[in-house]
Amino acid sequence: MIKITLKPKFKIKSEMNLKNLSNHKFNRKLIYKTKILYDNQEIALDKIFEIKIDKNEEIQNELVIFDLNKNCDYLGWKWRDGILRVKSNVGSFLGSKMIAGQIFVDGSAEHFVGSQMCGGKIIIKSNVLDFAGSSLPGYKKGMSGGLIIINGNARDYLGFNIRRGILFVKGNVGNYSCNSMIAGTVILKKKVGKNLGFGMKRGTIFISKKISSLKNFTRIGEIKNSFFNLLNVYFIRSFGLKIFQKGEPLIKYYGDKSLDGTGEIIVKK
Amino acid sequence: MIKIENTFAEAFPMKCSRLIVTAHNKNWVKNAAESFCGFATSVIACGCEAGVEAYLSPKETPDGRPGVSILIFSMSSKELSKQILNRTGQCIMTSPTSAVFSGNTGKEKIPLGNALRYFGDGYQIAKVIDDKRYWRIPVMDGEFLCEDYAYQIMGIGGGNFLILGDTVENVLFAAESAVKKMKKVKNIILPFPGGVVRSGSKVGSKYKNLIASTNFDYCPTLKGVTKSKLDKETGCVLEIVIDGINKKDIEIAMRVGILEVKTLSPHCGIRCISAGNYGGKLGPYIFKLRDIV
Repeated sequence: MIKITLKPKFKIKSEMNLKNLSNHKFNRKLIYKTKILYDNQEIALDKIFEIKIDKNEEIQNELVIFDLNKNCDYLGWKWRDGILRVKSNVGSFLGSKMIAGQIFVDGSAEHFVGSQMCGGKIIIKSNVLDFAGSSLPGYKKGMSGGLIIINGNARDYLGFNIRRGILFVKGNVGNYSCNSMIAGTVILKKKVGKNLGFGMKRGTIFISKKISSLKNFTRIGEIKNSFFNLLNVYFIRSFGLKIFQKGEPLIKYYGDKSLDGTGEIIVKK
Repeated sequence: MIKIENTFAEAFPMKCSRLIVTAHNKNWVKNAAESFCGFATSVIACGCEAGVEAYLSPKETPDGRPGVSILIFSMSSKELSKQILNRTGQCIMTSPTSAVFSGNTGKEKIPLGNALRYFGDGYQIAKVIDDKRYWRIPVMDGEFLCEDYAYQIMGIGGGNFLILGDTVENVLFAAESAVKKMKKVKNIILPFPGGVVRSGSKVGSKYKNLIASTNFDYCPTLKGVTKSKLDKETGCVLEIVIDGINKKDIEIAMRVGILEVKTLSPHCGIRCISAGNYGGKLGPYIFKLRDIV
């Protein structure tokens, strides 16, 4: 297994498209041949980054990138193998259309994090902006598998058109979260903005406190369910994140009624 | 001194799978497990052999509730699949608060929730956690949670040893002591009632339709009638049968059981330890008693 480390040779001030960085397949020769778009020009990777390739003691290949910023888009596009570690903030479309593997970001990310991803894990230490786990512009199906954990806040349209997979936000979320949700699981630990689950067809949303805008949902009542225990135990054991206390009563709401939806919003009692 | 005969037990390959069943409390875990493992003592007529491998604490189960690990063995993949599906549907899904998960991985899939989901009549929900699909099937106490597939692995059936003694009471006591110790070994089950079998069988019969019949060599009431392997003072024989995932664990279980019997007092009425073998007709796995001990 190998570990590739990339450090920019200068401060990135223009738009950078890192889509091609997912094509090297951890091959030493291919990495040097990789070209990326910087300021709308195709430039060899080694002209922008210092490339260091070492042996990796981990089971998986690893790509570590330092000092990126919000200008760096499309990192981890269609990512399918190994670990990608970002030791800074990053731009939009992080892990979009991701297939497998893992992405860890030590800072924040911009829009469309994990949009249309179908597998793998994305773990963000800080905040993200709009459309995390959603569909890409012009498409109707959002994230269809995998897991996104956002340890900070997320802004609007989180999980827009989400179809499958799990989204976990430890902080606050903005408006229109889980709009037109097709299925999947979304866990929101803190404050939730307006119009949660509007147009929801199926799927599960966890929220910590009841919110006023659940008019389109019918209250089912208190539930005790093995699936929620399973999910809770999975997050505790794998990531040290607790969704609810063991034995804590949960209330189920069912909707969106306006669409004959059968989605569920689970609220801590 | 309890003698160990210079003989061997003979076992055969089987298809196997492990299931983890959880429930609201230990009582309902036990009820579900007992129901699932009922009528599963021998492949001769039950279709499978099943038993409790171990009871699990909430820390050891996927959903953090009390649970049980069940091993089920059968002769063919098809029969194993059928038995698991029927028993899960009729014994676990019906048991209040239960949930069922696969306890192993493997290449060959056995439909579990994938087939049982239709009981939800359209209201079943699929959820994927960590690349595993689960089905939530609405039932009258809430939901029955069931993993999409169980997985088949190779196992070994028919590891055994015989305890020969003077009276039923003494041999039963020795067998119970051995079973108690053997149940602590992982990756094995003792499929017979209480882990002990009294009707040891031999392959074939004088009746054409029977594939197995009583092992008259070891029947005390036939001493003198048939060519018995029992001496004058032996009045009872009980067998402990072991199915396991691998040869090593069956050997460990046999060793633990035999040594437990050997630790009993010389005046306990146990005369010797033997094993059931069929001269190589039954299967490729050989467990030589003296080597094991």
